[in-house]
Amino acid sequence: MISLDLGVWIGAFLTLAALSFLYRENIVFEFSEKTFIGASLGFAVVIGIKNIISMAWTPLGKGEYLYIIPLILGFLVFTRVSKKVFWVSRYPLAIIVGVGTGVSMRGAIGEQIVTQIAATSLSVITPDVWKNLDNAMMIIMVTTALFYFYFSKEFKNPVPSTAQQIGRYVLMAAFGASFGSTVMARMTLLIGRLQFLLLTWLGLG
Amino acid sequence: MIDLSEKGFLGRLADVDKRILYVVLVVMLSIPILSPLGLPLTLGKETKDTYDTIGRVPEGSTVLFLAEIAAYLFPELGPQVIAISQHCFNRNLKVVYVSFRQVEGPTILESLVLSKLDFRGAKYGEGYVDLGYFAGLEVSMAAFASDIYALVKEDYRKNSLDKLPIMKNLKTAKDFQLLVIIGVADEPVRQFGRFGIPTVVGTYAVVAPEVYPFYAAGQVKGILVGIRGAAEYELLVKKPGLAVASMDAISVSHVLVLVLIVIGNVGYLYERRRKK
Repeated sequence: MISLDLGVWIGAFLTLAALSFLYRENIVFEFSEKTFIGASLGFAVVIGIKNIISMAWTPLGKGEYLYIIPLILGFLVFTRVSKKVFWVSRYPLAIIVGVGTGVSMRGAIGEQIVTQIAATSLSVITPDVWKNLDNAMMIIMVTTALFYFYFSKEFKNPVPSTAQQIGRYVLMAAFGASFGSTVMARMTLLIGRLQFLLLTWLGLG
Repeated sequence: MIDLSEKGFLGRLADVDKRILYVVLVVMLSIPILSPLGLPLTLGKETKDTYDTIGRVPEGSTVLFLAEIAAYLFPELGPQVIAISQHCFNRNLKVVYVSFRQVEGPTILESLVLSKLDFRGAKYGEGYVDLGYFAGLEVSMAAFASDIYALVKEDYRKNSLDKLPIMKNLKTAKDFQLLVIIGVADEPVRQFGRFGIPTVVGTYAVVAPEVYPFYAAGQVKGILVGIRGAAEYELLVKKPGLAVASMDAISVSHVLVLVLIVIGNVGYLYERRRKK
């Protein structure tokens, strides 16, 4: 039976309004687009303010006065809207970028570089023939894919230029797999919306 | 003999109006949604590894669950969160939910996920807790990993951490026995990987190729990929839900895409040959 829930009807209207773009751009689609953007932004602003209150303002009120520093730095970011003093915002942004980069680099070197290189150091002399082939292919494909990105010099020698050619095919295969995953992801979103419209809203099935 | 004058049949077929394709797609997907076909679903190694990893965690252990669910990702990630959470509660594990990337993660968790779970007697604050969302992404993760109480003062429901028994012995990331990452895995692996906690990932299909290197290297013990991974896991925990219901439609959509790709390429090649 068709749903009598107002929220479901609003959701169904906005879903159909968004899908109307597939026919052509129209004012109903634009209404749903702006509604989505506005609601998302509003939600993010509220959560952001709640974060500031719970993580900085409340501890400041309890006597942890050091929190005044990140609060001031955070407000200084808003000086970007002024043409006269927008240079002030560079300082807090520099701190954000610096801290973020430092934190990422610590983890990246261990988990994404050293560990990955170690994982690519595979044995090609094992009792299992298929394992040997699998490991050999892995080593070849990783090294040729990395070698593809060496642009400092053009190679006329057939060995490195062939390696770059193989690397290009490896990357194309990877992008093809990624595209296939993307197709599944997008279809999942559409199926989710169709399930909502057919089963939740219209009560069919 | 095929008429190839002007744009032949195959050329026209490859050039059909997109809107007709959209209608065909919607009709084809609606059929298995309204009348399930019951197509078989095989179990992938990555999903089995995820299930076994969680199965090896001792009962009573505490799980750090990064529930990074956004509204637009819910069709893929929602069923994964529900299935993995249910497995954790079936095994009497304690679950600490937190979000560092998705602002609406805790809201979706509270309204759409927790209501679908059988907690097997686990009470909020003792068997599970939702710590909420913390801005700063990787910096917040690093802060959480090194000192939870420095970052977290209260949970999503405004309870002080001192009043939550589940948080009593949790000071750093080392105190967790399992890490479940839902969503993008790069930043959590960078920040939590150094603690050596067994890690499983549930991710959406677009990002899955980026997670496989971690799985191949053994940094991640198991992966659930998109809605298919969720469907396989739902069958493993014997709680079929949204993901299993969607699999017939997913299979039909993939067959349709394959057929359209073949038609498009055949039409293109014939047109190219005709012009020569």
